[in-house]
Amino acid sequence: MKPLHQQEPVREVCAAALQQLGRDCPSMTFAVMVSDDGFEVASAGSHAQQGGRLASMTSSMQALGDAVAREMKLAACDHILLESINGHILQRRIPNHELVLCAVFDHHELVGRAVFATSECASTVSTNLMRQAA
Amino acid sequence: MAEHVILIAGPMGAGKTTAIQSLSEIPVVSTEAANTDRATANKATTTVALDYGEITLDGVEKVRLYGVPGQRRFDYMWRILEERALGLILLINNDGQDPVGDMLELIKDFSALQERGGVVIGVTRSDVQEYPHTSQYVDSIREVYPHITAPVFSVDARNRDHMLITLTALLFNIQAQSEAPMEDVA
Ligand SMILES: Nc1nc2c(ncn2[C@@H]2O[C@H](COP(=O)(O)OP(=O)(O)OP(=O)(O)O)[C@@H](O)[C@H]2O)c(=O)[nH]1
Ligand SMILES: [Mg+2]
Repeated sequence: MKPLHQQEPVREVCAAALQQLGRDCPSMTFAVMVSDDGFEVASAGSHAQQGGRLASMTSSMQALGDAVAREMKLAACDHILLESINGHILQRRIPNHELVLCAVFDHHELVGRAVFATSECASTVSTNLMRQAA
Repeated sequence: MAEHVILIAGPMGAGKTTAIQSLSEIPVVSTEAANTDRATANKATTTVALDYGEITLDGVEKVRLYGVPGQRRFDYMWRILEERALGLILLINNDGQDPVGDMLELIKDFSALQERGGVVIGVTRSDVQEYPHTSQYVDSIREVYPHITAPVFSVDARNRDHMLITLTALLFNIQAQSEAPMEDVA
């Protein structure tokens, strides 16, 4: 079987969900969906940085989050929020799939809204991929 | 001697994660993710951030071991982790496309670490692919980097004794390098 990031139907589902996320949150500047090992599956929005590096870093962060959670005998890491004075980054595991979403917001977005919108996005992707596989 | 931080680097599938599991006395911290790049290394998982383990030598000296991801896409982790390290174990899988070339390139990538402490080479998976012989690694180091001392061992990363010998050799080298008279920098 082809790797996830090369499966066209998977890419399409992810790209559509990222675009919807951008419409729901106008202050989302960039979003990328990556495989667990950090290959870009789809992206939306514009960013000066090349998506490839953020994709790899998203994978590292997720794995470190899982490692810390495991250390503390917690369940796997669901999402990670990174706040800075001029924006925030929210990354989130896609339930039941080896995929992670990473979305970058400028400072206009309320954190709560970003948390909610990315959660919606993740469950949409999860449901649509399950439907596709069925 | 005080506490040491040692880095383990090398190409994807060389056995860095395996080596830390072989050596560590504590449950290792690992960051494995499902591997989709089966063309480069046909295994289920790959390291995406780091491995961490600890070992006490001669009951006194604690060595902290960090493994890095082999894939170059994660080279920011190499830079982050090398800052705290004093020496490098470079594992090279003998069944790669160009193992000697990989070694030469990685010695350059980690030259700061080589200068600060030291480096040893562990050639893995020689049972899978017999050639090149370790002497070819030694010869090309001499040719390309005549100023550095980097012992080359043939090892199996799954074998604790092999990895212990490699680690001990590195620590010995670091010690020797730190006691060597300083070059005149003026
Ligand atoms: N036959 C053989 N297998 C070995 C030897 N050394 C290590 N291995 C195996 O080779 C594989 C190495 O996998 P890892 O330890 O995940 O490799 P890694 O260097 O951490 O790879 P990345 O994290 O993906 O960069 C494991 O399946 C080991 O059991 C050896 O000398 N001979
Ligand atoms: Mg590894």
